[in-house]
Amino acid sequence: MKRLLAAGISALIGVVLLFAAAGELIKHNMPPYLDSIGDDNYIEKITGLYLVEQSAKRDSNIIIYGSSELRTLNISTHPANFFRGQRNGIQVNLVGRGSCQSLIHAINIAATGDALTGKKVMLITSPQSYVRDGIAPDLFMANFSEQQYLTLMLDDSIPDHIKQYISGRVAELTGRYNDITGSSMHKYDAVGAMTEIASNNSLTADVLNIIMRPYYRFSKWLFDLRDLIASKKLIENVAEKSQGMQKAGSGTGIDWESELRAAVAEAEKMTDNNEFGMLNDYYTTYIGRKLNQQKNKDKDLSYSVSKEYDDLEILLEICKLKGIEPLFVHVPLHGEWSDYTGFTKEQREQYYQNVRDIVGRYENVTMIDLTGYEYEKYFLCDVMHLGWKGWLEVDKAIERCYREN
Amino acid sequence: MIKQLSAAIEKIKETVFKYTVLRVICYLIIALALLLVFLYTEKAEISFVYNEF
Repeated sequence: MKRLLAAGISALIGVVLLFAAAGELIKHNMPPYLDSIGDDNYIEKITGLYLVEQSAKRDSNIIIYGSSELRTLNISTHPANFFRGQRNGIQVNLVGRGSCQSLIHAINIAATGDALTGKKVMLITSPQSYVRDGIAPDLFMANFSEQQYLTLMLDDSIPDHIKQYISGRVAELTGRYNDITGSSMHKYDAVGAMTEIASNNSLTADVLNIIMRPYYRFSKWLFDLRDLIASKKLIENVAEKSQGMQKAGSGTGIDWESELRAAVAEAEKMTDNNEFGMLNDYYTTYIGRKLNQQKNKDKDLSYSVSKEYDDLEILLEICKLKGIEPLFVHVPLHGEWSDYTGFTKEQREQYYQNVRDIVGRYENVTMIDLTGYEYEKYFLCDVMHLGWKGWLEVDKAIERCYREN
Repeated sequence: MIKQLSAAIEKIKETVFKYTVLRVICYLIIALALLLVFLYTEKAEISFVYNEF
């Protein structure tokens, strides 16, 4: 019996030492971070922490948290194109993809510790996120990061009400996802246990939480290591791709008038099959022959009440808590198209005002309110995503923010 | 073939269980293998239908 116990204890100590050594080995073999990783919206930045933290350490980097609009890299005024090669000393870092909404960004930012404190950050939310139930369960699960969730829940500097809100939303969305798909995601792992216990406000739950802490920490450690390995792989791939590519000159100034003229010329070429100023491909795929069917299709649509507003509020509260002063881009809808589909100006204004009211409560946030450009041709590139002129306004805001800092 | 393999496994088991050090080393190898499998297995992407429109 004694021999068995001794073997067990030795094995346990050995495993701890071995894992620690493996972890240190991985950490010490990380290649240097590359700024060009910021030019694309890699999934590793959405679900991991290492790359965002490395980017935040660089003064030239402005992290842009957004969603599907980040994908419009075929537009030359998109910030990743506009500032490519660190034009004017600015490097943008895109974090997000279609389906990344406020809750995903809130979890991401909350998990960064103090890495983003005092850093330049931009938030872009999309109008179509503000449907009644907010983010859909499958979209949430596709972008949810166990690593980020465990990190924020184990961070003692984050107030309980924020943790409770986030764990409540995680429980709700995971539950709905499991119901729809018949799966058992996060039922029997650290995330599941943590969510279950966090939703229970009793002494037993507190005790259980303390008992489970080593398990949570171990799980977090594993996810941190996996994040490092994924980041290492990505950095190496990007380094290989960018080998031999010439870095663009940094430039000394921007002639905004000439940039606008160039943007309009490009827009005219890319939208010449429709009158709405939408990208040709987009128009052909989603509208084109179906134009008549779209008339008044959105007359019952409403963005007046949505869980997304609560998620946005938590996101901004987390920014405030962390001492982040974000630029918030308030994106308009396509005025002409919305009128056609029956989503009236009053309904749109209600959504705009709801967002303004929330953002207005946070003095740390600077709002770039673009909602006045609904009818500006080429401001959007389709029914909802920023286009040539819209991105140019965002570029101006980035440049201004960078200069002021 | 199977008989030979079983015999070999039996022999390893006997040897390993005879010496505590060997047993601990065996546990460590298993633990390390599990760690590596976890770290190098890419998380399966959850598919979703994202309506661009």
